[in-house]
Amino acid sequence: MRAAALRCGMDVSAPRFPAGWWLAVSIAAGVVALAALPAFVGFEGGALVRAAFAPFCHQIPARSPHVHGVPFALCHRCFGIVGGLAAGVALGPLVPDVLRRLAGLNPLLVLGLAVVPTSVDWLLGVAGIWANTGASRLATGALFGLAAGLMLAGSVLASSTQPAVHDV
Amino acid sequence: MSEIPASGAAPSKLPSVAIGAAVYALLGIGLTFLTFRVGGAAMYASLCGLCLVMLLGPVLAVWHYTSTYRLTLLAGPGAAIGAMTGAAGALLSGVLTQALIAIQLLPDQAEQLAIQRANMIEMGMDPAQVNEAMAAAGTGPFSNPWLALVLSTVIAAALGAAIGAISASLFKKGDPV
Repeated sequence: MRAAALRCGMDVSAPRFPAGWWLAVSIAAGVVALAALPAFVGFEGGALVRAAFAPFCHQIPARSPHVHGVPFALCHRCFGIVGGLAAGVALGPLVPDVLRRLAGLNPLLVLGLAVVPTSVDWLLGVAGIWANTGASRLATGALFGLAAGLMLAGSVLASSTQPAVHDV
Repeated sequence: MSEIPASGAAPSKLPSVAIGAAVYALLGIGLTFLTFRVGGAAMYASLCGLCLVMLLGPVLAVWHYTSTYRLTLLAGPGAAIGAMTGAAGALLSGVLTQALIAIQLLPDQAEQLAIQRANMIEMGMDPAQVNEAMAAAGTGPFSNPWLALVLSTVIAAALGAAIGAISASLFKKGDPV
């Protein structure tokens, strides 16, 4: 892994898992855990978490992941996005070659391409051409989230080795 | 484009945060209004746009900051702008929503649930299935909307931080700060 990092030009003297990365992983994983919480707590706690996530997602029960018949606080697509985000940022330091290649690409292009599958899945469903499923919504959302998570990991890891010009 | 202060300190982030938060709150309230007061295709589109509003506020704030001062943000300051924008936007949106409910421009919780139930039936779900799903989901009038707003604000700050850090790598304009 260290050899791979050297080959792709990353600063190997910098900590492999800097504090900023731990913070990013904790935040992303925390949101994923919170979204799944209603399936594992009682009615009152579940209602509070669902109410808290309501501004961010439609939360239609039939279009949300379930555990024991109780839906999460996010729909399949949104849960896929935050799950993919958490996975991407967690995996980032383990795949320095991928991060290096991503850094060489236009970030808007990367995100634009990553959002295509979930957009197509949604649009075909709206047009009545393809009845999307829970798995398709989850998987295409996760793909976008994974790309965003890898970009987040790249941004955090690069910042940990880059001096700032101004104090913030 | 504005000048960077001669002291060398980073320029204030508050104007960018305020713009991002205002856009977040106004779009959020607009989508809520479309969902509960217009219905039909507008309702479907607005339901799918909820997460986009969450994305747009922090992205706009980081873009405004980097464009105004011709700067490149590191992940930390980008996350700080995103978190502040998400939290302020969620708080503003929540407070305004409660005010609009109080003056009956938006439906209260009980009426919102009735509308959601009707929408699910319109989408083709069996009424008994809808009742079962809503009961399993714990979707009943929540007694303390202000507690939910506090938790929403924390979630918006967390997601805003992630979006802000990613946005920092999207908009690179000059010296890193």
